[in-house]
Amino acid sequence: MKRAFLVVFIVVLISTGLWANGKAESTDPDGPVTLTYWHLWGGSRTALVDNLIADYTAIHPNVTIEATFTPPNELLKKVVQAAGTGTLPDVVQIHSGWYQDLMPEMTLTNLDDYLKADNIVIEDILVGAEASRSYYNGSVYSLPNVNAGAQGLFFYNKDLMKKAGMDPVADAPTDWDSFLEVSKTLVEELNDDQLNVIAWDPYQMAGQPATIIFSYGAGFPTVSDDGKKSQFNDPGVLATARAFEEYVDTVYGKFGGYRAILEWNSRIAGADTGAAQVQAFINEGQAFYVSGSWTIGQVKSGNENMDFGIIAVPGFNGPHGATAKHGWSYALSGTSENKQAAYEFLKFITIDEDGNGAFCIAQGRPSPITATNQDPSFTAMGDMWTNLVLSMNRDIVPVAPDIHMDIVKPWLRDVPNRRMFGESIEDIYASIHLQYQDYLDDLD
Amino acid sequence: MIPRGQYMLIRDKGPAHVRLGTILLFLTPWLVSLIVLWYGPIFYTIGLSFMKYRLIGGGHYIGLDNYIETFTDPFFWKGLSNTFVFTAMFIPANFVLGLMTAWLLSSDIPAKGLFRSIIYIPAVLPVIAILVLGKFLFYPNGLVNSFLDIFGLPGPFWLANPKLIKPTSVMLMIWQCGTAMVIYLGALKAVPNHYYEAAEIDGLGRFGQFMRITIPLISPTIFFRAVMDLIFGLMIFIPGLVLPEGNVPGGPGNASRYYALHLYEKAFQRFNLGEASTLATILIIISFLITFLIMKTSERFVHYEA
Repeated sequence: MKRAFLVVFIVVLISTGLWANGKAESTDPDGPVTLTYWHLWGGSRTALVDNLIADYTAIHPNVTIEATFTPPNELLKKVVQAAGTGTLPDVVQIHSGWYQDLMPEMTLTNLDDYLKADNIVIEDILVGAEASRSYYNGSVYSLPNVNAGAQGLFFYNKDLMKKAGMDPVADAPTDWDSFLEVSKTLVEELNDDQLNVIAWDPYQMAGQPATIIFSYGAGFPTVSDDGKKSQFNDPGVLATARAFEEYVDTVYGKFGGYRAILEWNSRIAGADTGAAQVQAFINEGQAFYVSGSWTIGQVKSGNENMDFGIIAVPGFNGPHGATAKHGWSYALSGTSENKQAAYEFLKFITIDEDGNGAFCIAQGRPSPITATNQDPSFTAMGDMWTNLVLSMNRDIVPVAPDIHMDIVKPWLRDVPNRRMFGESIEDIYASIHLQYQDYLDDLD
Repeated sequence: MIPRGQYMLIRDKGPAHVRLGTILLFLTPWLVSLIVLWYGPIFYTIGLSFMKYRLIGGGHYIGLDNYIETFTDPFFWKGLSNTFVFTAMFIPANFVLGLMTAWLLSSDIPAKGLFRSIIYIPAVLPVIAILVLGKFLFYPNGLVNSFLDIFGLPGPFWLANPKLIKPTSVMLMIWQCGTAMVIYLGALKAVPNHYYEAAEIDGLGRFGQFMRITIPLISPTIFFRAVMDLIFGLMIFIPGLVLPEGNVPGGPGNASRYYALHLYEKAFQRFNLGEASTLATILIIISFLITFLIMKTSERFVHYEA
């Protein structure tokens, strides 16, 4: 009896092993292939991903795509854990700023040879900043899915400016001083004793923290070019923090400063998340919003009647544009057993006008693909689109420092809380500097 | 000679004896899980604490570097002090609330079954649900501040004030005092009634009875709860992640950066598993030392029945 059990056990073990080893790459290009695919497009955008997959499988009926949605705030952890254990899906969404965490040479597929075999030069297809963020140590390891170069656009509500007695075109802020002036007028004209409509909250979190957008815009990066040294103690970065302090004092001082904004956040925005804050702009509880191009679609679908404009960020030295070097991309797993098929799908969802181009158009957001941005649905937006494209092409970040937004964001979001209870801006930034340096050391 | 009727771990097929193999067979699931799922990871973690180890790329031995790094890290000390302060507030608060509710509900009050259920329900809810709900209560314009406003009191910024975030966390965590209440209820029921009758004859009041009879007799239960709450307090993590204003983990101003949150960030945000293992090892040692110290001194204040 014992021997019989042993035989059965060994047979099961061997057959399981054989099955596991039998999943070698199919050599037949038209044979059935199943690709696993992780993405972060939740909510209304899941349907767009479904369409993308349906379009692809209509052209490639032999391919089955098994898509898995993961929320953006959980994706890094999930991807790094999968990369560490060799269980990444065939096609995986990453943030190009995660290269340092992912060690691409060990975990992702180098796409150079695949692109070369297809005679594809990504610089010919993609917006400059989008092409450059695909590289790690001189090789392409991912391709952009959506545009990242347009973060730091200045959205403004024209109706609220009119209501405050200003001309939405002539009075639109062009630099920091005019921004301060316009904000002050707007807040004073639209509120009585209680703050119901704000101009802007410098510590809102949309895409990137505003501190980073403004300090990079002024030429003061928060991290060294090699991504190893925190520069939150840099006088230029500190000057940004002090300018924000001045903004809060000048615009909201009469209402209680940071305290008033915090109360407004709780009362009007409804909560303290980025999603709630964009909602406040949509609901016309705030007049200005610094965010990325994805906000266009959100605002349009959230408030069809709102008349809003987009201009470059009114920085300290005049208008400046995009600051983001990194953004959402797709990569191929280094251990994929269907690399060729996965690469074909990757192309469709990144550099193909029919695939990713359509995905971006459906969202009303600019595409990393240069040609897609000439779509009539975009160009019909007139000045707004012209400003946006202009902004996208002003890639002002020096090299490619990884900002690690998810790490830095909460610390900067905490500044108003800490200021309100007596910590000096210098002490706060010194502590953020320490914390960020500790983080960068951990990566080394 | 082994006396008849005693179980022996010998290879004897006699009816009064249990075979060693049979015993081991029944113990195996527990032993395997104890070794593989408990002691294995503990020793593995201790091993990793001497390595520079990242999730991707493996690791190598670096001696005591992680320990030096950890002891010179200001956020390690911040996490440790925050955790101790939280625990120091949580243990007495949970003890008083748990014991008081149990004492009240062990007496003859109407609808005590209903009250017991109401107090116990939060204990079966996930902590995260309580904290998310609590967050809405403690917002600047939340229910708590609206209530204070009725009396003309200015509502504080519970979740944005570095001085208030820990007491607010404790207030929310003791919603789960139902577990302590049930255990204390059981202990109170076990106190023989004739002690109270004798004390009453001697003229001892209710408070005196509580202090001189109830507390000494349920002291083993209080001790057990204190140790459990201590372990819970040292592992506190979620309030630091969920509660702070602006969704700032460990905020405001690192006032809720608890030890376990610091460990979590090292391990799962920065993937520095070597240093995270060092933090875990230090926590094991701290927990062990404190528990050992309490056990050693417990004879002075815990009265076991002879």
